[in-house]
Amino acid sequence: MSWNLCGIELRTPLVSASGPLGWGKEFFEIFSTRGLGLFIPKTVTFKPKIGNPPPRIEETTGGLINSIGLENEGIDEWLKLKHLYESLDIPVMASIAGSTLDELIKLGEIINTLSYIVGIELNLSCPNVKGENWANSPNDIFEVTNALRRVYKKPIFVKLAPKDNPLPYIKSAIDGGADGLTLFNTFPAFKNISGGLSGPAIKPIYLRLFKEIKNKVDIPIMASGGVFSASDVLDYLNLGANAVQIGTAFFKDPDIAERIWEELETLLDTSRCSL
Amino acid sequence: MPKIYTGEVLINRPVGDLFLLTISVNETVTVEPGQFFLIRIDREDIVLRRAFSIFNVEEDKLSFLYRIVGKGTRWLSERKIGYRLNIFGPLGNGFSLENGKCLLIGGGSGIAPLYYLGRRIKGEIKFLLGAQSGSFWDKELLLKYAEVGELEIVTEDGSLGKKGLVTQYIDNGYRKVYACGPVEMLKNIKVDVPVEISLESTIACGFGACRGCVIETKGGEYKRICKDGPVFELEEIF
Repeated sequence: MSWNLCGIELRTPLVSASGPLGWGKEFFEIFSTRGLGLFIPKTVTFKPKIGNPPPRIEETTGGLINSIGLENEGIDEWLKLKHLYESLDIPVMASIAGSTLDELIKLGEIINTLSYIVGIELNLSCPNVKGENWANSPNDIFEVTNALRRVYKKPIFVKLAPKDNPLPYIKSAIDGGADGLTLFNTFPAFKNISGGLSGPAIKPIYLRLFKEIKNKVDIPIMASGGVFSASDVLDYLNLGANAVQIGTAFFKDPDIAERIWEELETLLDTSRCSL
Repeated sequence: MPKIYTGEVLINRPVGDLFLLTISVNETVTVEPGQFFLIRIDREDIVLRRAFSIFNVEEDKLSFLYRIVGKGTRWLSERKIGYRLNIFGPLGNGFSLENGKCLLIGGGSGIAPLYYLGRRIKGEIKFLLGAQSGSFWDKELLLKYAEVGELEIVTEDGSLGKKGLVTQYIDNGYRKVYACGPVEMLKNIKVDVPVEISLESTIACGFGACRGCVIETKGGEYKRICKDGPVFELEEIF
């Protein structure tokens, strides 16, 4: 069984969502890639970002709000992880964000030269110079995707925010040159802190959005939102996702990818036999 | 190196307002005083593990001292003997051990990491433990501390030991001071020897990756409580 995202071969459909595992340095000192098909390190920006002041996380019933603020050491430090990424037995996709087009283009040009990176996931939930997220406007989505498309030759996945009617946003990303989509980023929420909600609490909302767009999008989709079990993965695969990201569940079980894959393999075998 | 263990509950009962949890992981684990473990809460509505500093280690037995503060610790307190907990650790940077006369100050549930620390320090130690009231600890728990070092008790209501706050009773003559407890207590430790403190936070990944648990140092830097800490020099933070 193999899985394919725009020509990127994955051994399993399970992808580590950008964020929870950082750039992978600490995680892969302790755990292996077992169960994972693709690794997406935490979003890298052109310049280092100090991130938001604490508190940055707040647990909710069945969920977690985070407001990390894209803390990262910037592209120069990220490039030093070449050996780690080359040593992994799974492909690595970069996640990038920028507050200006210029920054994104520079990141695209640098990453375009890296043979060990199979593609880019474009994180649009970074405030632009006007202080608004690119992801909130179809025009912005088009403009940003298109700018990156001109300098980056390998697959681009655009990660969109959850919106009540997602199709105009999806269309903008496709028109801008996206090869694939990551649906969706965390859900805006508030409990003591304002941030993005993730975890089981958001899954029913995201499944409804997937139902809405089913059969209407003809580029590959990575689903993201509340995946904690093999049956969660199947829910998204059945609604048209080509791969499924796991994020917050790594906090509950750092070995979650391995756990889900063991179960999923059996479930997928069974469902194929019954066809 | 941290890893995921299955720990069978041997003891899980109140020792005053705190609970003592002892689990067996069936292998010897090397843990430094001040390090912590993340315990998985097996409820679908809880996504984060709960972080507990190590209270004691004896071969394959790990002990924790905790207080019920929410539904996660409530769930933990209801685990019966024989329940198999999923625990991840040991994590974080522990205390650096000093071989001289040391003062170990603990406020509330902050007394937890001090017992194992006291056992590991080669030298004379004194515990200065504080709580709102004497009923916070039971006799058995206090005796454990008294077996390891000199014990001085302070309660806010004066029902046991001296009346007031631990920070009013800090004396001199120590090579080093270790402390764990409420932020207000830590801020009011004024001594002229090095002080190491252990901090508490909501923890997500536990190994420094997610940047969820940062604290701002006096120098304006963000440090990860789970990885750079949970033990810090007092003067670095407050």
